[in-house]
Amino acid sequence: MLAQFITNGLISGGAYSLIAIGYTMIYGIGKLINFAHGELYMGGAYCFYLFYIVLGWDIYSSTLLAVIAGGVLGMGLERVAYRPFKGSSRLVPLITTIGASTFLRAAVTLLFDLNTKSLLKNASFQEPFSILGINITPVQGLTIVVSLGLMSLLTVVLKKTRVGKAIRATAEDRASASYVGIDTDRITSITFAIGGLMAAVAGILVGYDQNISPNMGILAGFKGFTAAVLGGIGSIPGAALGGICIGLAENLGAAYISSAYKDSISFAMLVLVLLYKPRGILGEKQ
Amino acid sequence: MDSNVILSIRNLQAFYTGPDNPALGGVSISVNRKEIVALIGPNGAGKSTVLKAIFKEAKVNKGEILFEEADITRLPAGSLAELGIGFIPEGRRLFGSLTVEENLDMGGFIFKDKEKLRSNKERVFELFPFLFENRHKLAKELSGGEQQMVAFGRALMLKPKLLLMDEPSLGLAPQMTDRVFDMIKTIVGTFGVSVLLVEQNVKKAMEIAHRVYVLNLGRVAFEGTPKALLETGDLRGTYLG
Repeated sequence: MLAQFITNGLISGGAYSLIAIGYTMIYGIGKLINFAHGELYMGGAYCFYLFYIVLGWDIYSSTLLAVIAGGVLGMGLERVAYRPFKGSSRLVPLITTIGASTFLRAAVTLLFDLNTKSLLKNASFQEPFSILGINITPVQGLTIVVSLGLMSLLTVVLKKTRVGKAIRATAEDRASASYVGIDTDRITSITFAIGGLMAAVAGILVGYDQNISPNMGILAGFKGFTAAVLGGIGSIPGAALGGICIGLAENLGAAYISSAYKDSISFAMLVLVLLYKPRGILGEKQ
Repeated sequence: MDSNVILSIRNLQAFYTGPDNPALGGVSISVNRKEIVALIGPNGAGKSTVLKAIFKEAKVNKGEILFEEADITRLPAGSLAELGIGFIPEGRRLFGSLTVEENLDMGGFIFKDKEKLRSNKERVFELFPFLFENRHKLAKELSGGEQQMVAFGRALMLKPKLLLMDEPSLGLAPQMTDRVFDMIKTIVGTFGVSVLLVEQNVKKAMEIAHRVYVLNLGRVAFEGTPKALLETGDLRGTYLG
């Protein structure tokens, strides 16, 4: 039974990690908590719904285009809610992203209505099979594989590529980065795109598993944020770890305490982390 | 205009908080090719502001900044590297959680051509073998003097024509300070760059500078060779302590 709970924890944790990485990268580059991040997750899922269900495109191009749309949405968000307020108080982009979040939720509700929608065309994706006594559906298995794969890919990109290094350099010292000729606005835009992309992937995977609604990003966004803070805001390995921790804690808590407390567990964790370890597990010491 | 002049600052007025509170009240400075020019003066005289105005950390109110006869007064900080202007800010401002080699890679960010990046890096490694030996270390793990070496290396990755240095010896031990000034001399000798150097350590700066500007209260109080400055005894007493 424990193995089953751990697996469930990894499934939801993987998605939280993808969301948390976006939070933490955007925080690193812009010193901004992007409160519309949950809406990038929701937006990715709805783009997939539009392409795959409404327009009836095939699953591969729908997925690919929905993920790209998530990236574009992230870039658009940066252009509208962050860049115009560069140099103003840090509270300003905080409020503009809250505004963007409300706007996106309202826009999606207007376009598609408030009812939950299924992304499934092929029910076999959700038929559980059993390995080593653990029940898991193909979609859930995919969630674990894709989130781990995407996190590893991102790590390599940040470590090895020219743009990846520039993202790390800009996050570390924006002024210094511009002195060496890095276009920090462009790097910020790319970072928002990566955040949007990863959130969209999480949104599509979770949407497949649990259906979608315009408000799906609220709770997922809060949990992703909690994961980012738990891991140490600004730290990418921290965000990945934080997401997995939240997923595990939630599922183990639901199993051994009460499933009614599932959502409150992550918020209790947020309060405890902020009280006792505000820099998180892997956060920078100062 | 004399094409031997690489940087020409004319009647520059700059401020941080507001134009009625100027940090520079009309300063004119020029730097020739392959020349080390030192900017000295008491605290708050506006020495660093000259460099910060070039890199848009201070706002320019009036006057102009010409680099190789082109007006760069309004150019954003991010486009100066491409022209060949390197900036070594106060406190070095390295990318601490990046390795030494990654710091150099970022110094050469403007070169998309990997081959060019590699050959520049080899030149820097040749000049500073220490950086090669410690290329995999994180920049923040190095001592102050070693970090200064990384800062020089990072700026040299641009193949700059002009290097602006803000207090490179600040906070360093005396032996390290000597080494830093030796490095500056070597850099100018090897790479043929011009240097505009802001320094608190007047004695050391005068040893390596070809020309000196003394700034006081946001204005140029003296301009000339270090020798000429030493001969004006009262200036020395008033401004240099």
